[in-house]
Amino acid sequence: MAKYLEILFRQRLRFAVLLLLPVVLGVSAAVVLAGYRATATLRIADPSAIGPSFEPVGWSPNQTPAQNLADNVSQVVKTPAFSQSLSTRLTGSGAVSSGPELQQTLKSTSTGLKAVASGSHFVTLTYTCPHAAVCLAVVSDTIDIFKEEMAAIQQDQATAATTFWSGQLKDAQANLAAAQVELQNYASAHPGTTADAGLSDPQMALLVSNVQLWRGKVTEAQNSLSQAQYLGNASTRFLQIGTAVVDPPHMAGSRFVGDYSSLLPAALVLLVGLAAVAAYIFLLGWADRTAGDPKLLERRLGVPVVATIPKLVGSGGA
Amino acid sequence: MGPVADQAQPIANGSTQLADEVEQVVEETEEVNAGEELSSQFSHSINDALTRRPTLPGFADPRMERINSIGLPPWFIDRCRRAYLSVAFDAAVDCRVLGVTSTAYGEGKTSVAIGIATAMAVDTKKSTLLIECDFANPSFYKFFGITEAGGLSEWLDGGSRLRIVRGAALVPNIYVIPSGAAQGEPARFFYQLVDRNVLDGLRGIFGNVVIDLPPMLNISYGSLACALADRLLIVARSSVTLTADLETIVTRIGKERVSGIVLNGTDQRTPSWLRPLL
Repeated sequence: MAKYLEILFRQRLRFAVLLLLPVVLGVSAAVVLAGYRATATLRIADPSAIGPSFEPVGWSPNQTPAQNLADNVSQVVKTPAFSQSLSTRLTGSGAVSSGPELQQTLKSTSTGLKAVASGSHFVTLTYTCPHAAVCLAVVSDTIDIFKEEMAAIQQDQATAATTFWSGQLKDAQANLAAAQVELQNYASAHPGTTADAGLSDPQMALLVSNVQLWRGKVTEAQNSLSQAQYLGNASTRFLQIGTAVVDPPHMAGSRFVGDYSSLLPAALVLLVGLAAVAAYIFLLGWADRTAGDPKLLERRLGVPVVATIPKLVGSGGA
Repeated sequence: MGPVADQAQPIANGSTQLADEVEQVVEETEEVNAGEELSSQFSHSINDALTRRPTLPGFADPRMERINSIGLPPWFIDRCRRAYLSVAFDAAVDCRVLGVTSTAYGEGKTSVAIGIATAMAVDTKKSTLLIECDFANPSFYKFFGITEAGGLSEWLDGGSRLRIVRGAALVPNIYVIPSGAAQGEPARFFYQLVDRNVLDGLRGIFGNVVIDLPPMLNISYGSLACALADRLLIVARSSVTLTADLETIVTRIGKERVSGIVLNGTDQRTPSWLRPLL
């Protein structure tokens, strides 16, 4: 131990430089490998505020509003339309300057962009990337694109439902009209027969039943169409006004080392560097076979060291 | 009393004692046998060199060179003091002979040897001899600002006079024998020094003898060189000397002969408040 410490102090300038090197490398690694994380928090209103039985289209009644919203966000960011919109926005704002960087950013959104429910009505949106400005732009743009995309999706779903129930209503109305014509023709052919004589005239009873059936179907289709139109409009409106940004996009962590994720590799670099310096000292000590430590010398030779004489300045020795 | 003792003057604290010892050595050398002739000559030469000659008033002794200064800072010598005080010398021996070596050149061996000799001379007040025995790569002349030529190797090769240099004014009781000019075959000098017990002649003259030995790793005559000293210290340069090399020379010399390691050139950068926690 004394021998190695002596080597350390003897070449202290060299070791100071060697010790400084891993520190510099570690700090460089912490800065260069820093990952920046932008975050924003969204609040979603309770659907019951719209109506006691209101449930937005596509929402699961078994999940909290925040979980439903997080699912919606996660689905939206995986769509090609989202990538297209994000690409346009990032390029337009100048946040991303080069094509490869844009491609890398778009590719990383599927894994790096995360929406997590952080409460029953709060969703935290985070995105990690190598550049702080890009991270911030991606989160900010994602919120805007999400709102637009969700409105479009809700609109599409409402249109589909409306179209479906319109067709159903049209069919039901046509069938009702046909059943009524058939009933009138039968009544004209059999004067004196009334709708009340169903039990005595089975044919009359069947025709009346048909009319009633299609009348019910028409009513059902009208109700469903109204409901679909209401839900479509309400859902779109709900997501537009019920989703609020309570915590605007901002950078989390330090300015220089980002989200601290680079500290681990930096610590590893530092440790490896220090280990290399220690190994170098050990190597020097191991390779040094000269007499230096009186105790070691006495132990090895079995002869006492009777005096140690400091270096005589200017002595050439003889 | 011989001529050496007659002319001996107090040159430092204990100089009278030195003169007596020199005379005693001279008397003893007359009794040496033929095999110890070189040892006797060495003692004679030492005595001759140490003897002061009458000089003209106002003139320095022409035969005794002097070092201007040791050139090492006090704290360095104090650390060297710590090293020699840790060495367990035989209490019964009057003269302590300490060898300083290293694994290779450039580890501060000679500086530490000079520092230890200085500390011993200052502390013990005894005459202390510092001998350079690194014949292949002499360096005392650089440290002390003296000429390279003329020294132990030349004297061993049959030179007439052993060159001995006296310490600086602050440490007058230290004497230095340089090895002389660089020699190609240093092993033969060690052979002569060891085989003929040349350094034994010094034991009666000097209280302390510090020998600057050659680096041990790449020489074949290491055992000869080490035989000159009673105790050995190995100098290693911090962050330069390989532990394996130290291990090699400790094994080669023998762990029981090595009194310790002097770790030179340490430059600890770990804060002092942190060291006790480790």
